[in-house]
Amino acid sequence: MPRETVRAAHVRVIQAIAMLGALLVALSLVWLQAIESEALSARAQAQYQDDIQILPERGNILDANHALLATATYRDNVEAAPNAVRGSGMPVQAMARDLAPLLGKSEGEIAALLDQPDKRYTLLAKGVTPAVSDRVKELIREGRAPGITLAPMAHRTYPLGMLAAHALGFYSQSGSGQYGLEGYYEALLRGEPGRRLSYGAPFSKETGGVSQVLQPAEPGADLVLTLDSAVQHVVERELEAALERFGASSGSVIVMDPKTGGIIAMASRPTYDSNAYQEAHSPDGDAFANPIISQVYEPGSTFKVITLAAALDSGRISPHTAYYDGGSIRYGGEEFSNWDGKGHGQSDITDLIAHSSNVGAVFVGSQLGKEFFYEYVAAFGFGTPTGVDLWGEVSGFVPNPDSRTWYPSSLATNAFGQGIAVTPLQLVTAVSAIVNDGVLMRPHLVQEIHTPEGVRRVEPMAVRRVVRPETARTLLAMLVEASTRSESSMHLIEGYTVAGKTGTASIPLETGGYDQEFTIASYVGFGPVEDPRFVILVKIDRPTVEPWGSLVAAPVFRAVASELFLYYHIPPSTAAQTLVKRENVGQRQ
Amino acid sequence: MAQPETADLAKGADFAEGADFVADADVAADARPRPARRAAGAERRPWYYELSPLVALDMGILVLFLVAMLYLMPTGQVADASFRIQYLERRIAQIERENQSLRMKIAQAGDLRALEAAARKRYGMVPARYVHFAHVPASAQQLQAPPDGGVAEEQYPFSSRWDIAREQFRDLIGGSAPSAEEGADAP
Repeated sequence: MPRETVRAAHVRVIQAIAMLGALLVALSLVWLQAIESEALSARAQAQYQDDIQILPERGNILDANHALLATATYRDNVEAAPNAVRGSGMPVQAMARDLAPLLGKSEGEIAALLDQPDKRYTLLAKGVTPAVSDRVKELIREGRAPGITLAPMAHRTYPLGMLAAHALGFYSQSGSGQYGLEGYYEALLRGEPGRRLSYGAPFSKETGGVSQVLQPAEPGADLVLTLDSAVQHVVERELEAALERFGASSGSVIVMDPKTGGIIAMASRPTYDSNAYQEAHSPDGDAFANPIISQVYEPGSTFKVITLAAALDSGRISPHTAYYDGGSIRYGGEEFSNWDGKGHGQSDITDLIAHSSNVGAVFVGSQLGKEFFYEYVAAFGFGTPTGVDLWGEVSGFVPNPDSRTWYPSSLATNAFGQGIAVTPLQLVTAVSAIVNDGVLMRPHLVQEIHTPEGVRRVEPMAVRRVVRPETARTLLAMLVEASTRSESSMHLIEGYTVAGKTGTASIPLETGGYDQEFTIASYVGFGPVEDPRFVILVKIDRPTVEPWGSLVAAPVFRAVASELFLYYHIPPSTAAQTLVKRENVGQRQ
Repeated sequence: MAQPETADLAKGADFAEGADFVADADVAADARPRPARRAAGAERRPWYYELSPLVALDMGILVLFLVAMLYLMPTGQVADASFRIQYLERRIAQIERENQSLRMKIAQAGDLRALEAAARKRYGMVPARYVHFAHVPASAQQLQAPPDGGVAEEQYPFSSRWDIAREQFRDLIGGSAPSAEEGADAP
């Protein structure tokens, strides 16, 4: 075969091989670039990119004067990159020995966490104290903790500790607000998380060098409350003093602005520290539930104000309606007596309030009739949640006159506040409606919501008119007059016109009947009468020294109201009065 | 005209190899010697044809270096700026955290419970037993009223030692509270 022919054949073979190679390369390119493109691209990204969630900053909670009540502080998480630990050559046991006592874990636990060479991240400890952070930083500086990093993490903190804990609620370890405002406004406070891409060298498993924010985190809204921490402090101080003085197990005080429904202070004892909510415990129920909205009680004589408002507004009685108080009265087949068993003879409606007469209340209830009575009770908001912006509100219980368990005697019992279960908030809201010319306001704690877009004011919301303005004013005048003649008159405040109503309620037993030993002593009052700035409800549970609302709860009202007059710069009611004497105010050391 | 020598012909043919158009057939048909026409471009080769391979290599490396620098310099600057931005962002976050911590400390320092306890224990603070309110004539109120119609100064309470002493004396002897005329000693 000629040499040229052989050479040509070789060239053709080489050409064919080259063509085949080129074809394979082309096919591979098509396969990689078109068919497997997305999967390979994702694999490549996974090798050098980390899609990291940016946690939003939780919103602050501030009081009416913009003092911080709940905020975020930062504490370090101690993190490790086990692959880097292995790469450093540092013995895991030696590192565990250094870190274990600082992080409050055993050496074995730390060693097990560090000895995972394939992992690039593990969390050794969450939210360590600044002192521990400093010690870990020292170890890192000394080269004794390779692969260990500190990552600051937001930590919910309540600077004033126990103050207003029931109103605030707490931020749980599970990462959400619980109870109170934290629970109710969780969606607003938490904000929206963002996304960040963190780039690292392929296969190095180290990230954090360069990152790109895909979507910034949106911080949570700040809440500005109607609650005033100065008033709250006074309320808590006086409540604690009263519980101690009268040997009571628990109690609550709430201060409301009757014109807006804004809650100025709300306190209950026992309480807890929102910073250490895990340590809270309650032997008889939920330690975190706010008794002012979540627990019901039979209000007793303080409810007579509601009965009278209904009767006056319906026109069934007038301030001059007379009745005979013989110390007891029979109604619906049952006999009802006054709290002291005494009769007061011929009486009018103001006498009823002054003596807190059960006989009078039964008489008024009978004049009113069940339809009107329960209609007004519902209109005042009893039996339904008030709609307050707090987590965990309950409805209370109002008997249904159409039910088979309702008897005519129920009307008599309900008229003086027994056999009916209300929350303290429902009662103070209803009394505030009378003080507010008959208009029921929705109670609320938040007055402003601050978001990155701007400030949204929460306007006071009128729920409905419950009684006519004339009825409200008439009743207020009667309460003022009765207060000067009642058992609690000694607790009125010199120089100021205030009024209120005492209550000494029996406590129903689960087994039926009422507790013969203990009572709930309460007082609901307001002032100054000419331009009411606040309504205060004091409720002391199971006082052991004295059972009566006039002796146990009324002094707390007096002490708190006295401080409020000064705090709000309210001059005395009487124009001529210039020197105001104050007693039993802030006596607790 | 004399015929050209074979050697000259061969020389002319060789010379014509570099030309574009001198054909052997023309030479054969017309054996007259004539200068072959040469294209200007064919005569002058590009300058880099004249370079020695070593110099060419050096220049290539230089060009590559320049291109690499042109590409790498902005890339490096971008990376540097990116790291600076990240550093500053971290610094801002750190300062914000410190700021938040300071706000927290201020809030804790304003805790009324702690302040009251300290005031009572350290400085012997006791609650005011008497508060004296002064009445200011309407004309004076107008003079002192803030332009925005806010709360006038005269409404703020203050205590008078003389009033307190007088009231305490009344308490001791069992007297009543002072009358309006007695108390109204303010202008």
